[in-house]
This record gives sequence, C-alpha cells and structure tokens, in this order.
Amino acid sequence: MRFLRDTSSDQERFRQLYPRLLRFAAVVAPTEDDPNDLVQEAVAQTLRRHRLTDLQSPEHYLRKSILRLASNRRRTLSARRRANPRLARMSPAVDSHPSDLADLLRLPPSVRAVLFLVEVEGWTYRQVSDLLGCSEQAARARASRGLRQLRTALMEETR
Amino acid sequence: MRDELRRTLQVLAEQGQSRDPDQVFLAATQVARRRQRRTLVSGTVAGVAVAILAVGPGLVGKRNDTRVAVGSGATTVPPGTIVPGGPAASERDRLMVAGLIEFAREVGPPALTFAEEGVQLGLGEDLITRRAPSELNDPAQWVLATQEFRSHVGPFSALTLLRESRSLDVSVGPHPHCASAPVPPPAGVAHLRRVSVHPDAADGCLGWFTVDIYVDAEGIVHAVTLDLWAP
Repeated sequence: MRFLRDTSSDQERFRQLYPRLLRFAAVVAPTEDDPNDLVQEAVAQTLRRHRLTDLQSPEHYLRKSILRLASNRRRTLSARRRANPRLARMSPAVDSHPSDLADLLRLPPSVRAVLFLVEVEGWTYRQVSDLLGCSEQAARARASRGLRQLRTALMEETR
Repeated sequence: MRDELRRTLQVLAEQGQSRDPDQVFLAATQVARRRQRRTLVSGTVAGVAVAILAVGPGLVGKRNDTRVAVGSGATTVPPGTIVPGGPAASERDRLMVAGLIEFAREVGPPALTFAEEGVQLGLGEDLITRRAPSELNDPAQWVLATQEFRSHVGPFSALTLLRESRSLDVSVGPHPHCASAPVPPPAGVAHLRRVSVHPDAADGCLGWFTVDIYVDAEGIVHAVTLDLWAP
C-alpha cells in the first residue's frame, strides 16, 4: 500500500528479465566491475521513478540504464587511470584475458552493445538505434568502427 | 571473422556469475528506498523552511494538546510542530479519533456516530463511495479498491494505516500535506468540520498519511478520506 512497498509484481517481472539483463551487463561492463552490480544499480535507479510493470518495455529501459551506467563507469575508471599511472599498472588489465576477448573489451561499451545485440541477439540496427538514442546510421557506424578495430587488432596479432 | 566475433561475444556474455534474481531485486529495492528517504529528508527540510517563510512566525506556534491515548498504543506528539492555525481539537474530536483508532485496532466497534444517509469514503479530494452505517462495522467495507493513488499502490484503507501507526497526531481544519501545501477538502464536504489524524513528524513524508474525518456541528460523521504523500 505504501510507496515502493508492494513490489511483488515487479519482482516477478525482474525474475524473468534477469538472465538476459545479466548477459547484456556482462558484455558492456568494464572488466573491473561485476555485471550484477550494474543490473542492481539500474533496477534501483528505475524503481525510484517507475514500477517495472508500468513501463512499456522494462527490459529495454533497464538495458538502456545498464549501458549508461557502464559508459559512465568506464569514463570514471579511465580518468582515474590517467590521473594515477601507478593505479593503471595495478588495475586488472584487459590483457589478462585471451587476446580475442581482450580486443573486444578495449571497445567502448556502446560499441560492444551494438555488436552483441546485432550479432548475437539478432536485433535490427533500427532497434539498436532506439536503445542507444542515436540514428540508425550512427548505430551502423559504431558497429563498423568496432569491427574495423577488431580486424586491425587481429591483423597485428597475426603479423 | 563474424563467427569468431559471435563466439567471443557469447563467451563474454556468459562471464557474469548468475545470482538469485530475488536477492538482486531485494538489494536494488533497498537501495532505492534508502535514496528515496534521503531525498525526502532534504525535501522535508526545504518544505518546512518554505512554510516558515510563507506563514511567518505568528503561525508557527506551540502545539495544542492534541495527543490521543488509545489502549496500549498510546500516542505522543512532539512539541514545536507547525500548525496552520484554525480551531484546536476539542475533547469530542479526540474521543471520536480515539474511537476510530480503537476500531481500526479491533479493540471494539466503531464508537462514532455515522450519518443516517451513509458515510462517504474517499481519497484526497475525491469522494469515491458511500457506505451505510451498518456496513461500516465491517473493516472490509472501508477498503477502497483504487489501483493507484499518489504513486502508492492500492487497495487503500484508512483503518489499515491507523492500525499500523503508533505515533499519531490530531488537528482540526486545513493542515500541511507533510512537506507540501494543504490539500483542499472534497467539494461536497468542505462546509463540515475537518478533524484529521496523521503520524507525527518523526515518521518522515514517505510514511506520512492523513485520515480526515468530516463531521457536522453535532459530531456526526459524514465523510472519511485518506490521503498520502507522494514525492
């Protein structure tokens, strides 16, 4: 009856969405972060304003929120590393991953999101552009830029 | 290259260690509540400051003795609360409120005099339904099946709120809507005496509510409304 007290229907909805949200968060999250934390934070921020069941597409809304949080986190971590080079050397680097994963993790979260949604989940660029809040062309451009970067990295490794 | 990319993306997607979704949701809800409370505290402080500036020092006075003592759940009133003026709660008002609280706490039948034509029950400024005096002996008849009201999820019942609250306060006439400006009475009962019962200020706005009882000069109850605060 009280504000934010009756959340059972939201909880039920979240239970259904969780596996897909976690996969998405794992793709866009910085390596230093637990994807679960991103999901939790996205839900917390959403619940302050809306009930999940009131949203037209809670999954879409939460994915958007996860991506925004991941991008902000990456920016903060990069700034911290730039400010403190010693910290950069100590931080768990993407280089500890196999080369193909490490190359992918060097891409910005939004580019990773586009590639994941299009290549794995089969979204159209139009749907992706809606999630990213950009034009379809811009979404395509991000995907090509990402693929180009990956190709370059691959070529350098094979050289 | 595309197949390889797909495989790598799949591997990356599987890197998140699955947890109990209920635990994740519960943690998120707690974080949201904590932040909401923090926002409300700052909002309440700002609201009180605005109220002081708006009404001037003359209306920020000592509270009249409006505590309600009912059974084991005797209530206390913190001093220094802002009262917007108007008549103080009389002995009859206090007895009436005490009767309603006792009924809510299932101590006894409602010791109130209901209007013969029935009592209108409502939410905020809206009168939603009318119940016959005999129906009002059943707490289930006090429930309003409204789905949503001021960001709160229904159903709503004034009795539930009175039953769950331990620290209550009585006022007469218009009163602040927690940190916000007073809400006007429903048009149909605006001419009646408005006796309100609400939690004391210590509960904060999120848990704030008001049960407004509209009585005539003889103390006969014509309407009861419930109102809640929304951020």
